[in-house]
Amino acid sequence: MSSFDYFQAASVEEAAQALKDGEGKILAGGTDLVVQLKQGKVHPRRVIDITRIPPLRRLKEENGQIVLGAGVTFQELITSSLIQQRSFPLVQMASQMGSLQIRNVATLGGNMANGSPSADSLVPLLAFGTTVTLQSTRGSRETALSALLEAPPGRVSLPPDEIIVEIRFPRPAPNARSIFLKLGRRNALNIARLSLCAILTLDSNRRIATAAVAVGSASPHPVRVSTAEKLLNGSPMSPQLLEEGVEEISRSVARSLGKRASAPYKSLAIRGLAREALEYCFNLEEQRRQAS
Amino acid sequence: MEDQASLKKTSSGEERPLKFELNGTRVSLSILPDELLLDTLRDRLGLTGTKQGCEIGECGACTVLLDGKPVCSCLMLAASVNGRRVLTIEGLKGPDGKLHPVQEAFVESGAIQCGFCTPGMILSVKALVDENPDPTREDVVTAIAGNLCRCTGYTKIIDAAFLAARKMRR
Repeated sequence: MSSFDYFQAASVEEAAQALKDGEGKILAGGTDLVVQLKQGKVHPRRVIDITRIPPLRRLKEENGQIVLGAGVTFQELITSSLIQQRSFPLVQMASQMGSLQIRNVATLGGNMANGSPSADSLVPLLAFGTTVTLQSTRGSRETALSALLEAPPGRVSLPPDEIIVEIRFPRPAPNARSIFLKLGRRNALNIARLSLCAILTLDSNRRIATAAVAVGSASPHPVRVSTAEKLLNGSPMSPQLLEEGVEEISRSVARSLGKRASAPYKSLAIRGLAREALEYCFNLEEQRRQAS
Repeated sequence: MEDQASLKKTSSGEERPLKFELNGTRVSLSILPDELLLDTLRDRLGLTGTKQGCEIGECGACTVLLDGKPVCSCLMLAASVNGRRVLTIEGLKGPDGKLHPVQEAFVESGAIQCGFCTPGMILSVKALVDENPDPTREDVVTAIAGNLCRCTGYTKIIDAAFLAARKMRR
């Protein structure tokens, strides 16, 4: 591990000041950064520890939005009653990420900044329509999470002097049905081979009012499957629509997989994930019971 | 606050002060800014019960409890535990040298073979039963998923976790 200076920031402003020359790296949980430091993949002049900045640990509902500090850990998501009630896919996601030792320190902001194609948290966050607040000595700005992900794999569109401060998304409608699914080689400490989050809301005529589908580990960064969303939006739920939805998600993912070695496996596996997710969200049996 | 001020002045490669609570005792020492908690514990403080395994946070042999929660000391910069509370396997026994009920449970259940995973495994189980006195099998399996054991096949470790919970409830 190459030598670096260590700075413990007491506020976001202090952290931004320490990051100003672009030669620092943020330590949010360290589960990715410390491994990268050990492997010589990064050589910062200073490591800026942001784990003791209380505003970054906030987790609240505010003006119809779920607001998460970038320093919220995966374990804090699992144990938060707000997240359990309002955005359960984040609980499903977090409980399948790493081990307890990792979840106790790994943060949402760190998962985002690391820019991995298999970043677990980004899949539900994309589906929820997340906006991210960034801060530097130049000021504060907001950007859509999807814009932050317009970068090569392993990177995000984040200038070296900016810190991810806050993550927010609209509170899902009370009647929303949502699910996060992940496929991997084993159950624990599992890097996602493929993951999917679907969120459907219904209008008063039991048509799909809004559909959000996001997929991870099938492209350089997790993405929304907009063609499938368009197909589902405004349509009445039916077994046929479910089949068409599965087909469209699979087609779109197969396209983005291209010719990578894992494409034959993933283009089949996505069908299973898409079917399981849509069957859960459509909940057709319950619909039939209510109709009869 | 004085600690905070001095923390901020150190430059690359220079030793810096570190004060934290280790196994119930306040310790104060000098460390390097890029030093890992695992190395501080083993090499500076001689507490070799915390094991060095995979070094990338997958095997759990280096597990310690930070403010009561299991973390991998191989992924933790020593500097970042300033002012916090760390428990290693050496801090678990009572003042009279008596084994902790979780340690007793591991011995009585035959949950130890080579012993390399045992310190981390015991600390993970301690954190579990401290928080959840009556865990389900799934709770136990989730709690120890980050601790690899290549000898036991886990069955006796899971038995030990249940026995530990029973002992702690008494």
